Parts: sequence; structure tokens; C-alpha cells
Amino acid sequence: MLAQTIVNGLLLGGVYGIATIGFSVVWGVMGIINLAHGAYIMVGAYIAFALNQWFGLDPFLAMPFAMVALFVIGYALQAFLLNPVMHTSLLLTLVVTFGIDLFLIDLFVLFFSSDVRAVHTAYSGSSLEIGPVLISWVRLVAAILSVLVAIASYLFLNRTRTGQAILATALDREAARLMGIYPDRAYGLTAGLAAAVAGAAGCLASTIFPISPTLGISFLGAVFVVTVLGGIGSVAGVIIAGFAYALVQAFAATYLGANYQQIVAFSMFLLILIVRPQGLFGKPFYGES
Amino acid sequence: MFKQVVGALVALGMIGFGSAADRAAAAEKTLKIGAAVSLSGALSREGRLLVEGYELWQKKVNEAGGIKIGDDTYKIEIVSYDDESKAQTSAQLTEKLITSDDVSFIFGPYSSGIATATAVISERYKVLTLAPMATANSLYGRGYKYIFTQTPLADRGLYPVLELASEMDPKPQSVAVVGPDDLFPNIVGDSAAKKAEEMGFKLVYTAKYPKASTDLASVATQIKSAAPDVVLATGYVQDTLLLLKSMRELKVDPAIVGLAMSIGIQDFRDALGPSANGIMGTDMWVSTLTYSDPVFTDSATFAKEFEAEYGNAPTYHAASGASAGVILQMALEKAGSTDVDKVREALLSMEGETFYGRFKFEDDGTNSLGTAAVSQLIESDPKVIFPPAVAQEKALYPRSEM
Repeated sequence: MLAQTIVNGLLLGGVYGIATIGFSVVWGVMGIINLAHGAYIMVGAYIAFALNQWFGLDPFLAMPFAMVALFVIGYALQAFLLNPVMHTSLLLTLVVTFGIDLFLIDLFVLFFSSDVRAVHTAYSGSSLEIGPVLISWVRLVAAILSVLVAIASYLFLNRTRTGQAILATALDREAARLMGIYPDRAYGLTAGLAAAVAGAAGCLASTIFPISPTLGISFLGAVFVVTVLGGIGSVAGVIIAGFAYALVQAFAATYLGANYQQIVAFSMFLLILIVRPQGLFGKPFYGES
Repeated sequence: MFKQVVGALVALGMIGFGSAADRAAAAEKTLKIGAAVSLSGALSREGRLLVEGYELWQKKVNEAGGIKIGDDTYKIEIVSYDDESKAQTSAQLTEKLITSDDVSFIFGPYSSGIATATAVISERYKVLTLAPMATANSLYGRGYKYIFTQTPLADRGLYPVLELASEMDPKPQSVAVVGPDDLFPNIVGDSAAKKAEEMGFKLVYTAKYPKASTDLASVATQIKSAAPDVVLATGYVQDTLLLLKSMRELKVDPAIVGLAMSIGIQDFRDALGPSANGIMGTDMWVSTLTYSDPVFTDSATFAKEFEAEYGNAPTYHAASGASAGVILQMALEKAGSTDVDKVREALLSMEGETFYGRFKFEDDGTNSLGTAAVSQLIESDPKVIFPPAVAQEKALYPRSEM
């Protein structure tokens, strides 16, 4: 049972990580706590579901489509709704993103109803058996893809000119502007990329979890904890924190009882806030713009 | 003098007029029944269905010429108000029904919470209430004499699955009970766990996971290591799907999986996919039940007539409402009187059946013969397998691999 518990945690941790990257980067770069992030994940899941239902496309192969669609949505919402308000007050950005969240959820209730859906593939439910441990194929593939997308995001931010421009804008908006970076475009790109990764997370989630328009809400709690745990804006931190969070939950649920998984996870969250407020890997100056 | 004569004439006239009215009423009497049910607000959907059930019964009775009570024949008139899904409003409207509309019988509101408020009023005025959709145990433990429900109470939700399990061969030995940590699932789960032990099953695992759990792989892992023959789940649609998916991935394969919810819900079946075969669910009512009564004949006929009247298929809410009407009708006919206490005595002395199920009322107002039906997904079709009297198919046992 110990081995199975570790495997359960590890398989889920990747998904928590990829679900959190966009949220964390947007917070770190722009200082926006994007309450619509869960809805982006939900939209990604529905894209995977719809493509599977209509064209028989494998949900993992739906990822590029979902990422492109969500990049457009994320970029557009940033350009038209968030850029104008993001330097006014934190409260206003919270209100706007909450509004986007409600809008997206209701839009999907309208088109897909609030019925619960699931994506079925030939391999869903089948597992790899290693001794007493069972590793679900979909969860394994989802975990691996999560880590790959995370590495890609990390490389993009740290090794490309565009990524450097985004980080530079995060550190000092005015100096970045003097260096020839358009902050609004950097913000749009950040929001678009964040949404795209959330879309990818949605596709992965669609293979594991039942889908409904409120799918994102159950994720947002975990996303928030993992962000703070990993350090706001840190991609590497988020991935490690995702695994840590999932492992702690798995152990708490297995050895203390199912009703303890959130108590323990949130206690850990509080402890981090007290002992190391910048998170495990965060740099204190991020997110202060 | 003149004034006195006129006065006397008028008085005589009034008497004469009054007795004429009485004679007219004797020819065709009307029995008013009150109903303050939610038609707007949070519970409007369920409330509407319940009222439609009451009204379909009224229509059937009146079309058949009314109810014969003693020597008179009564038409039914349901006086209904909208309680706006608020307990306090429902209580006020109940008082209005009793004091200004003069009803002696009431069809109860939707939900136990609201019925708890209205029962105080109807009890004070000794007005008989049939509350088919108020099933909280707390409501029937207060010594009330005038409220009855034919629907099995909340805590008995999973009893029929256990009863079914105990009749299987080979008899399953061990039981696990899991569900979200929430009011209704806890009531159902706790009493199922207790009942399982009383029935001689070994209770090997119980879990209450947080309502907002994103993942239940750990719970499935623990079920696997406890290896129960029967898994009872008290959750809602989404978490139950997640649990069943996780169990499948971890190859947890008990002989019986019983849910405290209906498996008839289409999106639930679709989301479960091909792996759902053999899963059991409980229903207060489905249209394939074969109980019968003289008013609606059986459930299929009720469903057909309901759909013809309202344009959509009935749910158990509507069925419970219509069958409450049938039960009241049987009690009125047996009592031969509209006197509340006589009707109450008739109710308590009867044992019978409506299309919704069998009934025999206890002093506390509950139905000792009330039982949910167990359905099982057999080749992705829900089939009633319990109670045996209305079973469509033999239970698939042990269920085939997930």
C-alpha cells in the first residue's frame, strides 16, 4: 500500500503542476490573481471532450488544439479587459477575473448543460501492473506530458528572447519599456501562454476526471496552494510543489483517513506561509510590480 | 311593525335560501385539500413536479366522478400556494389554508426542511398532512400524530441493497461504506454501516472524503486493501463517477457495488461508459415498477398519463405526489367520513399498495413497508432487481469485471 500511495501521489502531482503553471506565472509577472484560471482548465477539458465526441480524436492529441484556442482566449481577454485595469487595484482585477470565470462557466452550462461528461478511450481504465502496484495508463501519460509541458514553459521563459522580455517586464516595467519592450504585448503573451498551458492541463484532466462546467472550481483550491508552495512565478517551484502537495494528500488520505487529506494539505500551506512566505522556490521580488 | 315583518321575511328568505344552497351542496360536494409547495425559488423544479403529481391525481379522481365517502360523492379541489422555497412562508400559507380556506387535509411541501416548519402548524390545528417528499428522520421522531409519509426515510437509503446482498448465493461477507462528508450522505452511510453489522456483515472499511476532493485514488487504494465483497457509495454524481473510475484503474472489483443514488440518470450512465455493467443504484420510484392501484393502474400507465398531461416524463417527485393522493383517497373511502381523526385511524389500520409501492403506516407516520427499488445496469440498461415482487430481472451477481 505504501508503494501504491507514492505512485498515486506522483501520478496526480504532475497534473496539479501543469494546472498551476499559468496561474503562478500570471501572478508573478503581472500581479494578477486570475480567478478565471480554473475556467480555462474547464474549457480545455471540454475541447478535448468535444473533439473526442465529434471526431473521435484522442484527448491527448487534442492538446495542441486546446492550447491554440486558449492562447487566443487568454491573449484577447488580457488585451481587452485586463490590461486597462491591471494597474488600478488588485480588487478590480479580482472582480474582472471572477466575472470572466462566471461568464465562462455559464456559457458552458448553456451549450453543454450541467450534465457530467467523461472522455472514454480504448485504454481508459487499463493499468500497468508492476508487482502489487497498479499504474493507470492515462494517469501515467498525463503525468509525463505535464512534466514535458512544464519543462517547455521553463525553457521558453528562461531561454528565449520573448521569455526574457516577459521576465524583464515583471521585474521592472519602466526599465523594460526603455529597453524597447512593449509591456502590454508582453502581458498579452504571458496571459495567452498561461491560458494555453491551462488548456493543456484541461485535456489531461479530461482523461482522469469527470467533466462538468464547474470542473475548474475544484482545481482552483489546489492551484492556489501549489502556487504559494512553489513560490509565486516559479515554474520549477510549481512542478515540485505539485508533486509535494499530491504526495502529502495521498499519504494523509491513506494513513490518517480520507477526511484528513485537505486538513493536512492546508496545514502545510499555512506552515509555509509562516515559515517561508516566498514559497519553496520563490524570489521575494516577484509579483510586486 | 312593517320593519319587523320585513325583517322576519328577510330572515325566512335567508333560511330558505340557505337550505337551498345546502341541498345543492348535498348533490355534489367538494373536498378541499391544501398544498403550499415551492413553485419559485431554489426548490421550484422539485416542487413543481410534486404539485403536478397531486394535480394529476385530482384530475383522475374528478374525471371518474369523485370519491365516494360514506353516502356522499366528493369532487376534489386542491388549493395550492407557492411557498417560494421558504420554510417560514410555507408555514404561514399552511396556517392560511387551515384558517381561511378551511382545509382539513394537506399535501405536504417539498423537502424535509420546509415540512418541519409546516408540521408544527398542521399539528396544532389537527390537520392531516401527507408529506411524500419529507423524509428526514428527525421529522418523525417528535411524536407528531398528523403527518404521514409513504416514502422510505432518508436513513434507509441503502437498506434494500443490503437486503438484496444477504439473499445472494454465495452470501457476501464484508462491506465497505464510502461517501462525501456531507449531511445526507452521512445519514445514509452511517445507518447503512450500522445495518450491515446488524445483518451479520463484516464492516471492513468506511471513509468520508471531503466534498470537494479532486482525487479519490487513495480511497480506492484503501478499498482495494480492505477487499470488501460489497462496496456501498453514498456520493453525488460527480464524486461517485470519480470513485468508480479510480476503482476501475486500480482493479478493485467487489461482487456488489451499490449506490445511494439512481443509476437511471442518463448523463451518469454515459459518463460511466461501457465499464458500468452490474453497478446497482437505488430509486424511490421508476416507471418500470409493477405495483398497482385502482386509480393509476400501474407505474407505466401513470408515466404515460403524466407525460400526456405535462409533456415530460415524470420523476419520483411527481409519482410520490400522485400516490399520496391515492393513499388519502383509500383512507377517506375506508373511513367513510371526512373527519380528520377517523381518516387518521383508517390510515393507521390499512395495509395496501399504490403504483408507487406498498404501505402500512406506523404511529409515528412512517411507512414500515416502504422500500426503495434497486436497479442494476444490465447491458447498460437499468433493470429493477429488488424487491423480488417487482423485479424485472435476476441480479447479475457477482458483477462482471469492471
